[in-house]
Amino acid sequence: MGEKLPNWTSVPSAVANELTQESKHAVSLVDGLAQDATAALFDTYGVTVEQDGPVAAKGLQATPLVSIIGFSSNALSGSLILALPQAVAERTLPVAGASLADWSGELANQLLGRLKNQLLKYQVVINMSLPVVVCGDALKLLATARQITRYYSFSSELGKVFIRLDMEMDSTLMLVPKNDEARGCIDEGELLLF
Amino acid sequence: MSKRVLIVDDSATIRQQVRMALTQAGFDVIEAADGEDGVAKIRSDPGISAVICDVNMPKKNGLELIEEIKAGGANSHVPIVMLTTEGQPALVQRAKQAGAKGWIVKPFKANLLVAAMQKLTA
Repeated sequence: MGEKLPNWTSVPSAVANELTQESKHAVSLVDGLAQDATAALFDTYGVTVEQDGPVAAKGLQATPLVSIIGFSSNALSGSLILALPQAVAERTLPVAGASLADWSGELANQLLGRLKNQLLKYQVVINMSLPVVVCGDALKLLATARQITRYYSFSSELGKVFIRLDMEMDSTLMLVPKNDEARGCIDEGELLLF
Repeated sequence: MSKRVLIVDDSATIRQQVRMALTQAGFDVIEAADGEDGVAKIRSDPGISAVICDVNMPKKNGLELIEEIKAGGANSHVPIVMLTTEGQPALVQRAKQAGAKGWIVKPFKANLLVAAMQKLTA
């Protein structure tokens, strides 16, 4: 699969003007958590990604590997889409010869896992679904009916990585960090023996 | 004779990654792609010395697997370590109360995984 030229699909931006101040703050926080989680995840697997483009970008470049994973909770639910060029998937593979499609799904799983673990620090617990991977040529993402849509674009030496978060957020959701005593999330790479 | 470890994970890449780490350390590795298959293999193979198990899987999740295995029956004594993206303390506590011997948050470090298996199968 060669890297295809981008196919832009115009989609409506997030309905930002209808959000409460608390929701806008929460969205801003989620933006930061998602961006940090993405950079940390790919760094773990040897690819440096840097965010580029505005967070409210209206299009999503088509890439050959698109993984979708859902999440739900009382206050926050939606889905995360991870779109990867083949070269990034290949470079991050922990085992030579493994399936790129399977690995793309696992990357989406680990990315949402990182986001989930960060949200725990703000007393938000999301339940994760299983990833679904779509492999294709000139894939296009259509407009979403979700309340909030956020786009994140990252550059790397191997091509662009795209994340899209589609969310429904309770208007009363306030992301307040836990105090240190209440923090208990286990970090990535950590091993506990009982 | 090599100690046998069962890896239960719906990601083939993770299963391959665990296999590579453990076989290099002298373990024999078998695989299951979901919780139902994991339970079936644990029940049917008395030669399994340890299990590494994901949490979020189709058919039966890892917490359900460990609760079912530890409730009794064949091979209920086998040590089980969870390998997952989840870091939520409540889930860790649930696994611990069910009888899990450990919890690893992905991505795992091969040397730590090997050391854990060596300790649990000694």
